[in-house]
Amino acid sequence: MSTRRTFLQLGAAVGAGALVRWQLDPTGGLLFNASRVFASVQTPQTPLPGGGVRQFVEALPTFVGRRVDDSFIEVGMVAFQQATLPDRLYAGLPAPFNAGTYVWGYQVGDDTRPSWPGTTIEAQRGRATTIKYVNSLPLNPVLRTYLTIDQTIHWADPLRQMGSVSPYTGPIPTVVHLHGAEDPSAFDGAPEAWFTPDGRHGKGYSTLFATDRNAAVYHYHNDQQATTLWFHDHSLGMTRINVFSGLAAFYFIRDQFDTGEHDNSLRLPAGNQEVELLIQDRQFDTNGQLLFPDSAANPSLVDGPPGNPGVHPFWIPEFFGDVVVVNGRSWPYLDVEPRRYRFRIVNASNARFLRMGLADSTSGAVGPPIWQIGTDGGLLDRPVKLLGLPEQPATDPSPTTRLFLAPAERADVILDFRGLFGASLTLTNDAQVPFPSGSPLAASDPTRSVMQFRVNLPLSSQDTTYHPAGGAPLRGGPNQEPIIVRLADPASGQPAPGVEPSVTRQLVLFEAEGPTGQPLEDLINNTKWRGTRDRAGNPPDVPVPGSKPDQFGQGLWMTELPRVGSTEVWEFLNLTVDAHPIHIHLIQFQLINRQAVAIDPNTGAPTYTAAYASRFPGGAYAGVRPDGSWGLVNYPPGMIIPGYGPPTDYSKPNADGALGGNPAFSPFLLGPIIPPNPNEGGWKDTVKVFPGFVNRFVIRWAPQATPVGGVQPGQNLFSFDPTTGPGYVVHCHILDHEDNEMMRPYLPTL
Amino acid sequence: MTHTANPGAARIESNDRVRGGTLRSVEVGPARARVSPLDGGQTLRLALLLALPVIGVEQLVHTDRPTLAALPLYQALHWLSDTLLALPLAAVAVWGGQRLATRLRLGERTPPAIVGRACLIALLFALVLVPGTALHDAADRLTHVHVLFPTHSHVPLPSRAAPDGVTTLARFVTHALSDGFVGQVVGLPLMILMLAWEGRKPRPEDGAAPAKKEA
Ligand SMILES: [Cu+2]
Repeated sequence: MSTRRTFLQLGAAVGAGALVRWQLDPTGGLLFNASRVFASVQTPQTPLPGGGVRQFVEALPTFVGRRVDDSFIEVGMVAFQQATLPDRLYAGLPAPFNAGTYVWGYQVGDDTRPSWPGTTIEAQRGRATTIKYVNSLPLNPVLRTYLTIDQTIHWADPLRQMGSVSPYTGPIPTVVHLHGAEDPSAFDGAPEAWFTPDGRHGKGYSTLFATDRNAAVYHYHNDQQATTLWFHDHSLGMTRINVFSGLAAFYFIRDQFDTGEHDNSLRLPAGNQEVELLIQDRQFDTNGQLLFPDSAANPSLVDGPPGNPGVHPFWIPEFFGDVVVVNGRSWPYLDVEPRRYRFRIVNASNARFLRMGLADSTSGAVGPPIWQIGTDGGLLDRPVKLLGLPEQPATDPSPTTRLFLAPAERADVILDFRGLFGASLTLTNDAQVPFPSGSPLAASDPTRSVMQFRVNLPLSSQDTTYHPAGGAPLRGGPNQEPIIVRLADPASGQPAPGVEPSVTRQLVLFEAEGPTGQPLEDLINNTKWRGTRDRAGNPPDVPVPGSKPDQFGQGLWMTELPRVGSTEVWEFLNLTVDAHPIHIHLIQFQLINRQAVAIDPNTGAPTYTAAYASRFPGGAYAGVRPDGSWGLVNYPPGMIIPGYGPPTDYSKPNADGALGGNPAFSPFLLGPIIPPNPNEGGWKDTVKVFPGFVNRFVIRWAPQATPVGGVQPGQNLFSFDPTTGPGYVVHCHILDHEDNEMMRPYLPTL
Repeated sequence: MTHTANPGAARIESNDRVRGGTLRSVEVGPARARVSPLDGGQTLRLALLLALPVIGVEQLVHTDRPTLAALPLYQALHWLSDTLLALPLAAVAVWGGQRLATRLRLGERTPPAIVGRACLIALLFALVLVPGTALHDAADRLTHVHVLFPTHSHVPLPSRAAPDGVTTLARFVTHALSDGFVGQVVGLPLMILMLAWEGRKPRPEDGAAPAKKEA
């Protein structure tokens, strides 16, 4: 055989191999589609690469002039179609997809249409708002065939099929949580308080007064300081799907200073110059429909398929998509005047962290700074200047010049477009997914862009608004809210003078992994939602020692039972590799500091992990067997038993004097105390808990404005009784974690 | 082209260069033919029989069972395409291994010689799979293969100091090399069997003292 012929044959082989490979591409390869015929997925979907979706071609939907401020509001949960991607993309699609993306959303008030996000609610401080939430989703919604509901995780389970490996096909449970609100637990949207379109109720269901079976009436006192709240779905084990589908909206609390009117005494931009930005990432398919990966046959382009399908066939550890959606529109633009604007921002993604800055859309040069004036729970004392410089990917809580928001964190910001007429500015993002263990975003990653501001509107009037660069205080002056009551001193990273925590809790964040090393579930203090040790149905399940049963009949065992009026320090040691935004209901709290623990150079894990593991006594508990299935596993002594709870009695103080049932943290601390970043030094309800760090919160079960020393343990200063009802929760706001056990019930006590 | 002290070898080289791998040739003579009994067709055949199982093992090692089970047809086609893409590398290994064996004056019919040849081929294949891994990764990126695998490779806590380029490269090479050798667990025995089989085939030169050792 001649050499030429040999080379020709080799070339033909390579060509054939390349052709097969090309057609195996999940983003539209013919062979991929053909090979999917054996896969059992509800709806085969071909992912639409976000990099091919044109950016900045549709205007940002806003709620200016449409916000609902009634004292009684009906909010429906509705299925509908909405143009999310560019209009032109839908125009080329067949029916029914050409009518838009199937979503679920809130219909707020009587005369508005449903939308994703729902229309913003504007409440006045001191004036209660009553809302009737109605679950009007269809009994067989189209989206349910796209978003596969996993029945093997501990979830709402309206049809009592928990454990089934089949996709759920029943009515959709929903319940609404007003995120960041001081509210009675009966109206807090407890995970077990869900209700379905056909009138089924979870064990935590409450309503202000009897109403339709598919509804619940909640009553919010609105006593807290003016701030940016948001409401979203919170049903047990279903939140990731319901929020992903569009069930989220803003809820502003206004007061006599922050009125939202142009003549507000804070001189903050208002009217057209006050704009909500609800930022999320999504994956779409080539029909313009939402894609939530449920198998290798239905891939998203950022996530993989479920990693432990033998246990959780459809649950993925974090959802990431390659399209950024703001106010329900992909990569929108906003035309602005050359003046100052106020933006109320929430990262409403399931799992994506956002680290943002402004850059000139043409040159890429660094744009104007972002002035952060408020956090989750209200205004900062003074504005914080965020230059938004290009930075290296971060793996620790070092200071950043960028606006860094984990899921559910909010930022109230001012952007100053003066002198920039004719410019276009891109809101950029550079956070790794997952954060921080994921790879840095590629230069071409479409999620490096969030949206665009085009400074092209003529100046309609002179800009006399508050000028953040002047550094004038936002609180403490005449016609301003008093300065923040300091539970922690953000400068020193220590509890504030006079603050005397009555209890310190040391809690561990732990991730259980399956045999292939893929996340199986994430746990707060190694304790599942129910607070019992799972014996896989063999011997009876045992409550975690030191826990108490809830009084509402939900079958939950609570370990966090702080006294109302008391102040506590909660220290979270994160033994996982990713940051978890920890959210505590009912109160706004403050971040004291973060401090690294020693890392074992051989394993890369904190040395604490081995010490922690050594305390576990071994035994037979539910877990993943080596073949990947779920059942009774014999754990040897010295091995962490996922879901066992802490290794020792929760209620017995450890060598640090801390509750929680864990070995003391202090011998493992290494490195300096890192105070909060300047823009974390205010009221927070959600804080990033960094891996390999102890993250310390100071929490007081009293209204924000209560002065230090102004409340005693056992004294209730709320205008309602927070010690009754189904209770509150503390959880990770990565929705995929929250849905799979990274949530614990808690209740203040008298 | 005949400037070496070993004209025979030089003639083979020249044959090789001029005619492209036509190592067995009437001009070369029976003795040479026994030393380098390979033609292009045989190289390709051996390369395919080497690449198929080795690439298959690599794919099995890197794919967990659920992922394999989710899209079996996809996995089979992926195996086929990767094997075809890796064929030139396998051919280089077969051709280079045989040449090296000849240089080392290994025979082709005795069991030790066959094993030696197979070892050389397997070793070379493991080595060329290192750059092959980089090419494979590039192909994976271009065709979005990552989306079919759980991406939450929850590796140990990210180092607080980013690794430098040399460390990254060293890690890659070590990993690719160890993978390459794992694949030879099936590649080597198969190559031994195949060489033994090929060696048993009658050829025109047979009869010219097959057992005769190289001088
Ligand atoms: Cu989490």
